[in-house]
Amino acid sequence: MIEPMPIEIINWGILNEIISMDEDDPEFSKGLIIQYIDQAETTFGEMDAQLQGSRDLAELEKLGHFLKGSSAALGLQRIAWSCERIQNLGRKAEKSFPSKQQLRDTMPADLVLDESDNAYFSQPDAEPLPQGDALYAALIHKALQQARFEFKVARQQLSEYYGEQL
Amino acid sequence: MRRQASPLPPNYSSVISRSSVAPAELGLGLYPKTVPAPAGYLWVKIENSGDAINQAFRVQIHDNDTVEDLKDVILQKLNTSRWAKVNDNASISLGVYTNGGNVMGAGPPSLASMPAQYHTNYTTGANAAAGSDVLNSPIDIVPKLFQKQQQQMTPQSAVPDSAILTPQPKQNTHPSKLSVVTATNEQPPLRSLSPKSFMNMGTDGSLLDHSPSRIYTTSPKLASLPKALMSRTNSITMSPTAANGMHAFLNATGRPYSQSRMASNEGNLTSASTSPTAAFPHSISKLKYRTEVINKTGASFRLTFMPDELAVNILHCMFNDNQPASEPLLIFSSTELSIEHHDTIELAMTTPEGDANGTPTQRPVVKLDPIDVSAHGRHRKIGPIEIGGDRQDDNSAPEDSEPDISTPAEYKTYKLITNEKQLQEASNFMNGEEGLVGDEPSPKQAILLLPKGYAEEYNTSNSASLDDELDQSLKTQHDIQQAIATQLSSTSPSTSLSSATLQHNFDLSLQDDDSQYLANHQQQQQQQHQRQASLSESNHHHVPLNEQEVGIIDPMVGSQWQDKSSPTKSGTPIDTPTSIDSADLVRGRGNASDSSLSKTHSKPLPKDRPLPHPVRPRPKPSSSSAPKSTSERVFPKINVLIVEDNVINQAILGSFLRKHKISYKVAKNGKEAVDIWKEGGLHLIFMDLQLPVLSGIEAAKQIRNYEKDRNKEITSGRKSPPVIIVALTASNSIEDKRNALLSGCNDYLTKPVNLHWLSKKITEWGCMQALIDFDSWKQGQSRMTDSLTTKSEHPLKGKAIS
Repeated sequence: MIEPMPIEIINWGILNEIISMDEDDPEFSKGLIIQYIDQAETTFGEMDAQLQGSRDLAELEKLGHFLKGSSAALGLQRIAWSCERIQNLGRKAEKSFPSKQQLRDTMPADLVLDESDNAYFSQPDAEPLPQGDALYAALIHKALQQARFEFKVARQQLSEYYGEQL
Repeated sequence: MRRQASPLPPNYSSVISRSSVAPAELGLGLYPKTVPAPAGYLWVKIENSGDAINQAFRVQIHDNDTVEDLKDVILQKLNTSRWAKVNDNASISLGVYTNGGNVMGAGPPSLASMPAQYHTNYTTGANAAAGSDVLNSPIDIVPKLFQKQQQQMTPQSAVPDSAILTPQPKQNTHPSKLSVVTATNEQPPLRSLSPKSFMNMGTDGSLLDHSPSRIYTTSPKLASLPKALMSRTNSITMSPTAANGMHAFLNATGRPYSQSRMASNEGNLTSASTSPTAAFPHSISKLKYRTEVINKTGASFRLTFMPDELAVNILHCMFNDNQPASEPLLIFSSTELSIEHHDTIELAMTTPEGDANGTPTQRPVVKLDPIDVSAHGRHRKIGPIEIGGDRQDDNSAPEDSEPDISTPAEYKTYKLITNEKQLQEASNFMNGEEGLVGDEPSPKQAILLLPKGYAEEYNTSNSASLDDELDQSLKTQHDIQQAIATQLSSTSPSTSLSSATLQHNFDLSLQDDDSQYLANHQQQQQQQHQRQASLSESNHHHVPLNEQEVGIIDPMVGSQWQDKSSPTKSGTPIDTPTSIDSADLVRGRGNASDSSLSKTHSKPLPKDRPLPHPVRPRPKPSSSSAPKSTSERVFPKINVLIVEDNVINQAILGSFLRKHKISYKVAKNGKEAVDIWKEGGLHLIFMDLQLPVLSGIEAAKQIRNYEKDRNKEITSGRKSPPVIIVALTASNSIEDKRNALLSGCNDYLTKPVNLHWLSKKITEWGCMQALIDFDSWKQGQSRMTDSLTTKSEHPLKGKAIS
């Protein structure tokens, strides 16, 4: 049973706790977010490399777990959710991933998607899925796509919050 | 009359399908037998929970559900979580943060939100329409006393005052307010009200119910009792079917309640939507809530709903029946709330009066004599108890009823007792008093043990410890119950009431030495313009709590202790007004005997003995610029190790510890953790479980094994205390947690780590470590304490090894 995707991109309750530490250390939270963005991009890259290369599920699981930790800590809950899927798929604890349409339905109603997003969501899910370990890799690929999308949206929102392009 | 039609997402469809419970049915004031269809869902979220659940979740609400009911549901829903174990109906409240236009999630940093002063204010219609989240104290109905409080409020709060200063029977401006006024004009006031009870009535959103709400019932016993008795009149107001029937339901002036209600609702809606700063889609002024300023500028408020507010009202007025999950109501689990218990304990057990066509029936009001209830040696004057009366009584005009604000001297609430003889006298005196009250089961006298050096004048401020407060309010409520029972059975034959007759209203309001309290309250406020961090902080500001040794300790031990602790102590003297300065002690210690010490100081051998790890120096009250959390000052001096592979999480935890001036090290995998542990000196390890190289589980196991080996080697003398390992589990699964505990971790926190919980754990385990450290030190010094040490070490070890 996959837990439902959270609706809000950013869990401000969590992020605000971190932002509150700016009191003592100005720009602390922003620095952290910038660090996170680097980390996420790096990790996504590593995941891609794994998927195109050795498809080491254990390694993918670790990467998923790793990024989940920091995403969750910053309240970026939809990225964290996607990473958790990667983690669980990597250890074969799950063997499905929601369709794009389902995921799109979970998004906040006021979220504006650009063309590339729309293209991503309108693109049908690849069927049928392969069997065996390839199934997990294929599902991780889907989860990674979703994670990237969520990352993009979260980044936009964070940029809005900080008033500069992060 | 019609509800605002709003486009609802699919999962909210059930909002529309409301139960059709007839008003008459509700009139019974009991839960309808048939379970009504859910009236909707409210998203709620535990504020500051790092434990089990920190996602918003949905609870089903029914038409009649009050906030109190909602709490039940929430507690039931979370009853497997540790959160639910430490919370009950009384300790939680529902509300939101509001912050200059932002609501909830985007509100102020929750960690820094230790409440300062409570502004128990109720909004009236004016301010919400102004788009301001600033709340006014109900000065239109509360005389003098509260005007002072008003002055204390932040500048912003003064804005819409003029609009509400005097209730003006203007048509259509604030129709709901108008109704209050008319009701009060037409109905001669049947009760005299204390200011406190007024505070619970001034809300225009609850025109019809106005049964003074029961606030924060602390006693579990009580919580269940008044619940059954609690007014369901709200249901009549809000249930749509009831509202239909309400055309016939005219108030004293002949104006339909429902119309004025709805009119005001819509009026506020439009004004709110045009105002750019409007915090809420709908006016929340209809709701009964309490606010408290949570930052020093007064720009942020925490808003908590009164327990008898209807959940559907909240859903409707705050979210226009359409609450996004991103804006959950927050569940505040606040011990702070209990502070207020003893100020505004109010019991209201009312049931709707009214027959099928909704006409309120008049009931005679029975006035009972004030009862004295002494709780913990503190006497309370309980306002007149009234029984019966229809709910419009409660609207009785503030200007007509002069609240009794005098606090007679005989209500001095406590007596400071310093020796046995005085205790005996007091005891006799109290026994004598019992007789006056009559044959009722008299409240037991209670003695509150106060620390030495406790200054008398602070007694009425928020000075007693939280536990004391809670305990006290529990006792008081219990006493009140007894008192009610007695009074009811003895003095109210006319209405043939017994304590069990649920059909009658009885309202009991406590008047807790109001003026005295308020004077104190204001004094505090003036002294500290800043937001005051917490109860505990105010303790430190006002109560010269003195860490003093009671009895006599061996001068040898004392001096060694001083030596041992001097490095840490020097930086953190516990400066209390009555404490002897430590230089004195150092001098006296070296060359003076006990007797000379006690000659020098009138108190019997007051050793200025700090805790093993002294508390941090408290900030000067005047210079407390930054908001401080309660826990900050009590964080023990410990060394913490963070084991975390992700730099982001390292940075967050590290920053938090830095902020609280706790020394820490960071390890990025299990192996590093073990290595750093071997260096020694660690008290507390926060261990992520899934780590590269060596997992947290493995690292914990290794550390425990090393500890065992090491303690075997040391046969005599000092054993180091085991380090406390708090696992940081990524998932909430029981499996993970069990594994963590099996591997030797003492505790766990769920990631993402909630900083509030983190500080709790640091305090909890850090203090434990401090104690253990102290014991182990003593073990090295004195064989006499051996048994003690083993005793205190056992439970921990047992827990760790199991």
